[in-house]
Amino acid sequence: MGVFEPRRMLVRSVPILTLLVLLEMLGGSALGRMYGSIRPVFLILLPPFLAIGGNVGSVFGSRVSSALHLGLVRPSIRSGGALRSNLIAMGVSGVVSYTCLGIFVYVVFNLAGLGKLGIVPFLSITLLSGTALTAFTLGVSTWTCFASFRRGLDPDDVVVPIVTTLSDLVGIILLLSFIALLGT
Amino acid sequence: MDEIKATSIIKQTLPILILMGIGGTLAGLFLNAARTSIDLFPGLLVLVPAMQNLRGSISGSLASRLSTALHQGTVKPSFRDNPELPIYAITSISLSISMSIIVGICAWAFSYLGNIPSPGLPGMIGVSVTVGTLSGFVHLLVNVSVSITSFRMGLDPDNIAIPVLSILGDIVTILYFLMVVRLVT
Repeated sequence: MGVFEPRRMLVRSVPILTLLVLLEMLGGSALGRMYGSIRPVFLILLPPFLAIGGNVGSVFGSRVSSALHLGLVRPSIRSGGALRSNLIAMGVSGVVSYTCLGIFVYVVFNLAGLGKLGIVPFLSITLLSGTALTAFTLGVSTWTCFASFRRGLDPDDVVVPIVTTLSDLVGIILLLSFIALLGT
Repeated sequence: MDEIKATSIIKQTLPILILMGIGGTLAGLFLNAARTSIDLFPGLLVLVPAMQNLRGSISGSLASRLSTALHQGTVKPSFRDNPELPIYAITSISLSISMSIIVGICAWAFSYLGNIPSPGLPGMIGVSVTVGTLSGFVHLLVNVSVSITSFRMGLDPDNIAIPVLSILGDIVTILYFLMVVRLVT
């Protein structure tokens, strides 16, 4: 048989992908319902906001998964060493990226002349929800890595889809909550 | 020691994340340009996160399979006379189309249940399948050419193809979304 088997790929992927789509739809519905009350700038912020969150989690996940395979990290939160430096590094990368993103979107929004926007509330919303999402996505990623590794599954197959989906869902909820809270 | 290692991880990952933020903002500007259609049917927004995540999931898993196959030597790194490539293309496109139909049906159901105005079941499936198939083709072309070219240059496709695809996936998906939605409404 060939390397790629279309039928087997479909049979294996469609059920899992459908489950992930259903979870994504919860976030999408929240977005659709709140649409009338959020400002245009948050529609611009949304795709990069979610992309960064999902990537922080999946990069961290694949690093930890390789470290588990190599025996550099034990599947325990007290593992220390490599796990701690990865957590610190990805946490810092996440927060720095969200800071850059907030400034970048603010500048683009103003240059494009799309309206008036207060820098303080906008940056606070981006940074607070971005930091919360970074913490969440790293937590979920660690947990999924350990849980799948302990069950004898390859974290590489499991972690990325679960982490990106949950991070999208929670990212939308966090962003909408901070918008409601800080009122921009 | 730990601190030194953390700095080197940051150096590797931060540039990609920042690039992702910039690419994603372009996608955001396209999404914002679709406002007139979204104003009419906010249900279209129900589709967006799922379409993007699906693009990422399908691209990511197929790209890593191709990269593994190249490393193992089961797929030749050449564009011509390569019998595995058409099968790879069929797998990728059929997965994109079948998942897009499911996304369209789910998005319609969620909008209906959540009382969010939507362009109806045929409209939601139409948008989802058109966007999913078109962006699926672009992904396929870029994935195969970037993977094979980087492999030939002695670079690991895992480190190049996947970040390139995920940045491009966001931009292309929302650009097609904007075009399709403008045509429909």
